Amino acid sequence: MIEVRGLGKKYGDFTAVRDLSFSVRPGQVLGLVGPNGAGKTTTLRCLAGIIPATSGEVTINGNDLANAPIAAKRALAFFPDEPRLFDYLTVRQHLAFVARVYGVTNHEAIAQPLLDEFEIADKADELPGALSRGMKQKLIIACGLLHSPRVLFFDEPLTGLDPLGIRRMKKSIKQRAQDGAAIVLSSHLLHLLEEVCSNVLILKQGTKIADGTLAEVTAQFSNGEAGVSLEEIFVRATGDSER
Amino acid sequence: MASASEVVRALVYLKVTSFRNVLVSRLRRIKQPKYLVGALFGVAYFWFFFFRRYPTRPGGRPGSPFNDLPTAGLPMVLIIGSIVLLVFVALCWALRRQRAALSFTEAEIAFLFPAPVGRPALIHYRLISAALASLFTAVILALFSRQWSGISPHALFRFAGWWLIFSTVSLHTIGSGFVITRWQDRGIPPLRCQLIAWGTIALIVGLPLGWLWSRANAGIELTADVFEHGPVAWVLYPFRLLLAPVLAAGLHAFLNSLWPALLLYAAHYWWVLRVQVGFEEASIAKAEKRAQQLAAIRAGKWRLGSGKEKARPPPFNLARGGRPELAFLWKNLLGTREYLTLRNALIAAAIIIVAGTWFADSAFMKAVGPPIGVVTLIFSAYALVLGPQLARQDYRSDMANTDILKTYPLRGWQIMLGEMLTPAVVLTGIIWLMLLAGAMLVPHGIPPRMNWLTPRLIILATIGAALLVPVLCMTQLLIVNAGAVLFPAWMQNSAARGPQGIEVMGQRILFMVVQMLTLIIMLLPVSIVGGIAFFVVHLLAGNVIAAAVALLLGIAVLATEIGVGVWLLGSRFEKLDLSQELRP
Repeated sequence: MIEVRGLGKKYGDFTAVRDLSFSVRPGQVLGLVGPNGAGKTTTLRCLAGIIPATSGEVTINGNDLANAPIAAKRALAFFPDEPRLFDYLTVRQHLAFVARVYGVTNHEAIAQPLLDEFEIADKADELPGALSRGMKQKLIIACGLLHSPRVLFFDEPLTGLDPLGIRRMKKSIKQRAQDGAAIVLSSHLLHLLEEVCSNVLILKQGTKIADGTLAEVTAQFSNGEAGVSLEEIFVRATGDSER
Repeated sequence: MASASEVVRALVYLKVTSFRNVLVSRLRRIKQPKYLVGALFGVAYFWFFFFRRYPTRPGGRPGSPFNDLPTAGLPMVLIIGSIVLLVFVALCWALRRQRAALSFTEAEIAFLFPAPVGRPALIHYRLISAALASLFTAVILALFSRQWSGISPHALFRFAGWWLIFSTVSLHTIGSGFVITRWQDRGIPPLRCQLIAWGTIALIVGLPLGWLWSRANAGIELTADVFEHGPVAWVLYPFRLLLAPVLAAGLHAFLNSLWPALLLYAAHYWWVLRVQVGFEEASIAKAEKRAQQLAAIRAGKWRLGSGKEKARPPPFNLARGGRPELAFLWKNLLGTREYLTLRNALIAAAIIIVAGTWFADSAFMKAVGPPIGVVTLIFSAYALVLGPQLARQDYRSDMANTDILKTYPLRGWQIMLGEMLTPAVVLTGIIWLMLLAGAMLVPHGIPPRMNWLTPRLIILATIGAALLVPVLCMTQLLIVNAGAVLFPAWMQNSAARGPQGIEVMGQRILFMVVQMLTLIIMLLPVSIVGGIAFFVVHLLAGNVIAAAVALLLGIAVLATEIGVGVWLLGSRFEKLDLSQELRP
């Protein structure tokens, strides 16, 4: 579903991401972790087609992102950490606009269950200014799910959500994965990775340190010790940056 | 409780310290080359417009070659100025609905409201602040009005005159707000307060208007003399007193006019202090609202025609399928004011046509129609040039959403085209209405020496201009949006209303110069093709057909250039990494 081969991104002389390769299959949730400045957001933005990669190939749902960006983008949804909304569109109008852009003809039938699922149906005629940050986040997610994407990218998906919202978000991510979506999420919250992710990719200074299932990555850095927490694994994998 | 003098001392300290710090920070900023270049452009601009000496005309004072009016125009300046002030003052009373609020900043509220400072001291503080703020406005206007005919030739008189006008009007605005709030505090409902205000205004303004109407219908020409007698002169008298210093030609005239104007100012000051009401809550709300507006401006979200954020009905029904560019038009139209609809535009057009036809033969229309028509046409030209700069319901206001826009399954050119449609449509509609009004009103006053300007020719010229408007709007919108895509950091800096100075103004001027140059370059092929077409066709089929062919070919060339430009801009947009561009 997501195939990444030799992905690289440079800003002038600075290399943000270096020779990154991995794949995410339907039903998998890949957690992208790493210290600040490791290149997580840059990687996500390259994968979502927001910025062009300097080198390498990204294939989304069988479509090369560089050569067939429209077909690739039809299959994906990107959820930024900061909910950016159009100030003068109500919740419902946001959904109508996104539906037209993605060519979703029967959007009302899809939108209402999404509004109900994210509990913003009673705010359907409100402008973003009347929504809390968490509600804005929910609206962004509802907009992203409207075209039933097969590939989902989340950048810090829990930021600004209340405990109930966090629980629902985790459930929603797991549900989409069970329905066959390939998901990549970047987060500093290691407990989220433990609960939601099937796979982990650790980045450090733009380079892949580890990639595999949670058990595989744990085994790689546990040095044979039992019961090592993911936090400890993370520190061991990226420890140099803390010194 | 602090005395009034202590408050004044605190105010002076605050203002002097703030001014010094602003000056220091701006001087530091000029060390950066981009600000230095901007500063040089800003200084050059000021020199060119305010201090450059134009050649002296025989028998006249140094002045711009294009704006000297005959001396007979002086009373008319006084009359028009008085009417403008009257209208402003009337609106102060008529439009007031909410409680009176004084303009404090959030910091002033935080420091002064809890401080042991009485209400009168706060009002003094605010009034003196407003008077100081008026000093800056007066300096700018004294420079701007340097070459206006009818305005005093002496810089000091102009400065003092403008300051008196702005300060007194500012006091009147505060005072009228206090009075209406007093009425409300006494239990009079806001609607009745407004009715009282409207009734009084109708009485004061209606009497002289009726008198003027009767004079016009009696066939008496509405010259300046008519405005200097009878009810019109009585109503305009205080405004004439206020305007007199700025128009004084010499020292004697200035001194004679100064004391009545000062007396008027002092009376207003006393009046405001006397009618004071509780303003604190409303002032806090006002400060919060202004802070939000400033934050919106700094975030690049301020748009012309956008008011308080409230959901408006969709401008049209967005069909489920179809061109995605139309979805952008629909989306951005939702960000404009509610009255900007096709229905209202058609109603306005109908009113212009009906009124223009109905009153075509009345003496009043013949007297005021042509000047209004000319002014409307001038405004339409201004709207064409300045409109694309101000109407920002396009990519410029969507820059913060760039990441989201780039995830859409659309080509860059589709997004760019869609983004530009709203300002193009809105501006075209407004300019078309202005052209229509001009075409309806101007023909009433064509002098005999211009009898070649037949109604048929006017209609054809209007249609030609109307056809050009959308492509000219799109051309300029393409250029300003190209600025946003190619130089996003610069555009954001330009949109921000943070600490500014002559260097930021210079940057904007530089940007506008580049935009104008680009526009000229884009119009060059249009002129060449149109010129050749006109030359060839007029030999075969006459001037009118030649002009039509030249116009259509010119539009086709410009449309092609726009198409290529949008495509190139879209390609650039696809490669844009805004976060990288905005790194300091």
